[in-house]
Amino acid sequence: MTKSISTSRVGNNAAMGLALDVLLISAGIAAYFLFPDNLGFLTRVLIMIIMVLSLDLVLGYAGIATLGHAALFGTGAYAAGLFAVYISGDPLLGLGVGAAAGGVIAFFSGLILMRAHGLTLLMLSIAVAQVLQEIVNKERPVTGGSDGLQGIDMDPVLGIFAFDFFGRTGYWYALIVLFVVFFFLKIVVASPFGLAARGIQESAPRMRAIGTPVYWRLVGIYTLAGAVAGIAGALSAQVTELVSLDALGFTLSAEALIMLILGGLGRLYGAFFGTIIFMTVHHTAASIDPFNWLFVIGALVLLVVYFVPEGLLGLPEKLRKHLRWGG
Amino acid sequence: MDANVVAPVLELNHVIAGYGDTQVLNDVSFGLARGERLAVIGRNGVGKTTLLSTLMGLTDLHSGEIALDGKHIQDLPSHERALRGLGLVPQTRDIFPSLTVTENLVSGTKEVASIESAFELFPRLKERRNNSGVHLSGGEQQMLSIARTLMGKPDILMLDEPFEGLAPVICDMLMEVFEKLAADGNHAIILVEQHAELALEFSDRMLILDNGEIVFHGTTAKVRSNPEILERHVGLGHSDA
Repeated sequence: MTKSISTSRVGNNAAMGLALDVLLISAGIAAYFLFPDNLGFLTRVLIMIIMVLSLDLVLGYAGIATLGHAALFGTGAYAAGLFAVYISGDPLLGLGVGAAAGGVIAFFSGLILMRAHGLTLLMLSIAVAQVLQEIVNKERPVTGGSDGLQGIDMDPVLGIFAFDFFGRTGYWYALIVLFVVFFFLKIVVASPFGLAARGIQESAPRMRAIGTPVYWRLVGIYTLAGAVAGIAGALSAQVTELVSLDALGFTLSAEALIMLILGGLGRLYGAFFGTIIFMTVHHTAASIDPFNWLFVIGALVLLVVYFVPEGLLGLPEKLRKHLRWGG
Repeated sequence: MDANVVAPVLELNHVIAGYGDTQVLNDVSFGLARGERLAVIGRNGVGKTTLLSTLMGLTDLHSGEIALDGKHIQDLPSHERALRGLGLVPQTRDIFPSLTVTENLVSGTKEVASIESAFELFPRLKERRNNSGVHLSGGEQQMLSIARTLMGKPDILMLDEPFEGLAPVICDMLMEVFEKLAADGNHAIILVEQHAELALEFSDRMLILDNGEIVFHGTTAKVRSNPEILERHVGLGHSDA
């Protein structure tokens, strides 16, 4: 009996995961046809989802509290942008360069960051992003400084699909990259490497005692997340053909964190829901009241944190329990 | 088994250790041979758990040496000690509550294939393999904690009060598993136990700690034939335990 219950529960979880995957892919395809005039905005949403997926790997799975994730995104963006300006406009090569740059910065900054905890870690993560932002600002001849990196001219994707003014190619390109990253991360988090990250979050001393080199595992996870955030940054540079200092800014790190908290940590899917809701509310509220839109976001975060601390992904379970008690 | 004849796989020499400046263990020395079953007993707070933690590198070693297979390990971090053959099942079990049984087992190892051996040893865990750690009973959590440690294929299995708070039927089942592990000759087992009866039943050598020092180290047979040893050092006859 026990066996059948637990097997059916896992079966249900797998079926629900598959249903969600199908739903997300369908929604991604449908959005292209339903909102043809908003492809630029939708592409930005897809790119931010990749960024938030990366943050989920770091914070949701490994418990690494960071407020400097933009350092990795911005590094990927500038690396891919500079690569396009000075070497090659091939989008896939640029994506690889962005991933490598994000990974390298994450690795070297991770060597320091992963030795810190709590408030110290938060402060150091902000410091890394600020230092990088200032370096980019100072290197104006190469990076464009506060004017941003311009002159990015992308070649067609696979030599066939040229980036167009309406953002059609950019949208499909970002959508495909998003789902490749998403399914890759699903494999990673289910692997012993990903499970070790969750184990470290729950009990680092215990993981050490069963033979896991906790520090190096954290550096590894942070590096992988850096590569993913680098991909998001590279996509942003390629699709908008511009990289500004904001790509390394504190606001981006903080917004990504809010998106993740809204959606729910440690489940990957939270990145989708949190980002879509945050950016839609932002987009709508800012167009209605450009000065006070943050009030709406603040209220939304307060409501979610207070009533559904697990994030919006925890809402169905919360409602189910509520209805059961009510019944 | 006589530790003087068989080369020890684990050796402690004049170990002084504790937490920060606080000294808990004082000049602890003993050896353990492969296949041997050592019980460590003593009153509360005498340093039994600290002894295991020190072996695992979780305390501050003030002086002394710890050797595993003849190589000093006292300067190695915990995970290196685990990879070299030390396996600790902590008193607190420390399973990962949000992970399923299977995920708990594979989280710390690359040898995912060993999971079948773990399930063979604990068929109950196989039945519960998809349950989260938080949804397991105390006995099942203890089985999971032991199985997860065994996934690392330790040469020396260190059990910190594994029977605490468990139903007698689960204790019997765990004792059978420990007997099986000890009988295969591949593991040396250190059992830290409050209940002298269980320690006597399981071990072939006993070590009694008091105030961080070894006050008795000898065969279990000697303790059985001289119950006053327990009375003197632990404060009870083994029939009272």
